[in-house]
Amino acid sequence: MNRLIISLITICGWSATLAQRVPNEVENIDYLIVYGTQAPASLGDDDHVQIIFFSVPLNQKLPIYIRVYDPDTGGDHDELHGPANTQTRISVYGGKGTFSKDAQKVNPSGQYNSGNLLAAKVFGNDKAWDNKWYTFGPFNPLQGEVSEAMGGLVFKLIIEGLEGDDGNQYRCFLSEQSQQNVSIEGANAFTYEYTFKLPKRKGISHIYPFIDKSVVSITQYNFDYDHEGEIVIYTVAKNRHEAAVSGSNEWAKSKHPMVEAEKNTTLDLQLLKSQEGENAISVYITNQYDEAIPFFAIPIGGPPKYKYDLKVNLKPSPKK
Amino acid sequence: MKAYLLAFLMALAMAPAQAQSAECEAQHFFEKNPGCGAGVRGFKCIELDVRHSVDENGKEFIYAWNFGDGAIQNGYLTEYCYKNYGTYTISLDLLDPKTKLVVRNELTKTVTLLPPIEYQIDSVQQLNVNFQYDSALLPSIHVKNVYWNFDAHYACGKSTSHTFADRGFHLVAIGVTGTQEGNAVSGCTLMGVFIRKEK
Repeated sequence: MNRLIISLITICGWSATLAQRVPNEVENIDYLIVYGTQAPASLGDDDHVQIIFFSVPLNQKLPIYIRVYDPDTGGDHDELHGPANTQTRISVYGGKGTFSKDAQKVNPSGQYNSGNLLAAKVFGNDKAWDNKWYTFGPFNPLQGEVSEAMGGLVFKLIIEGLEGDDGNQYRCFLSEQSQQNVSIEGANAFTYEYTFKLPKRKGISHIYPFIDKSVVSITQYNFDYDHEGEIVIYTVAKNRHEAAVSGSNEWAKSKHPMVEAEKNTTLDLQLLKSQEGENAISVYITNQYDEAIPFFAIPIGGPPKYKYDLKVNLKPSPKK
Repeated sequence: MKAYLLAFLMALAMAPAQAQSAECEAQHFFEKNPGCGAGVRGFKCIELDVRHSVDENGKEFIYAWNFGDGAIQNGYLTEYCYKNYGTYTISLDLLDPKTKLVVRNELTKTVTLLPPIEYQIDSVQQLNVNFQYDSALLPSIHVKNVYWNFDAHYACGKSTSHTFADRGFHLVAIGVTGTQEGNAVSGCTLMGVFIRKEK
């Protein structure tokens, strides 16, 4: 499976992948969110942990930085339940074991935090980092784990909600500079489970898993969508097939077969939010072997486009 | 350009035939310049049809077409007549009747509606007709290539001949490429050929 990803990335051109913001602008997701461990799952976070991988091209020579926007809990952007009392640990891993099987699972278990710990910091209600970027690094690109599957050097960012009951909303950026966000050509970011805050407004958000040649079917899982709209599967061959939608504090899942035309393409899981208001949800997708499929911040090959067959016929004006 | 086209039209005359070049690109020229064909001129109405690409297992949407001149119509199959000739960008929006969300620019298509060309009709007796382009009538243009389209039979060269399949009226499309004051130019026009009945 993973070799196919490499070849596709190569075919589609790294040059198109220039913005390593997570969540990415094309996803129409404003913030990722992690809740403190005292927050109930009914708020939308099933496990209080988010794992994000960054892949850096093998030819990257300059140091890299992983920047986190608004890493504190309190002040702006966060979801507070009473006084801000939540702490979040953010850790960066590299080296052997970073891209471990356990880390590719949807729930943190086993050796999900394997690899060399390169940097870590615990953030609380810290005004110094409210509404600001905190920078981890510099890291030598060679501190990442070489992954043939992802065609580059992989770093891992683990965001863990510790004590507290608030929601910490944040963004990340893989950058070539420490004081501003400068994209690294050819890099990408991916994850196997997303917990995020949907935009307050009505609209369509997107998640972009890559469907490799071996995928026969996918099962999408979503948690705590609160029936705020619909979820559809959009691909080159599916024009928005309806998927199961969860209510409050529950999982919903639906299975969708993949046809030949959809293999080696990106799938667009679209969340059609039809109500105003805040809502955090968790989402993941598995293949027919119950293995989680990675979502890419930058869709490989670009977002899919359903292939319409539009016939245009010119006709004479009707006689008056 | 229009003046050249008219002059070009006047330049057409009967002349001895010449063999078509082995590397004639006339078909390519007319495919690249669809406005040169008679069959696409003079229409102000279009029909849009996406019925065979509707995904029956997909979510139900209202298909809303924006015709690029402010008009909007709904449907998998729709027909619309513009007030004026011109180039229009048509876009398709999908309206979700359940969530009331709108997917913008799901599909876009640019169409050009060309006015008809007035053309001369020459009357001849024989099915086999010789054509020649007279460059003296366009002295400012250095004509490099002349392309002919006789009912989807193609020919190249300043001189050519064609044997029509039947008598009656036939429309011939003619294209030229060349240079004028160092700039590449191209154009096309039509001429009518009426083959009279044998006496």
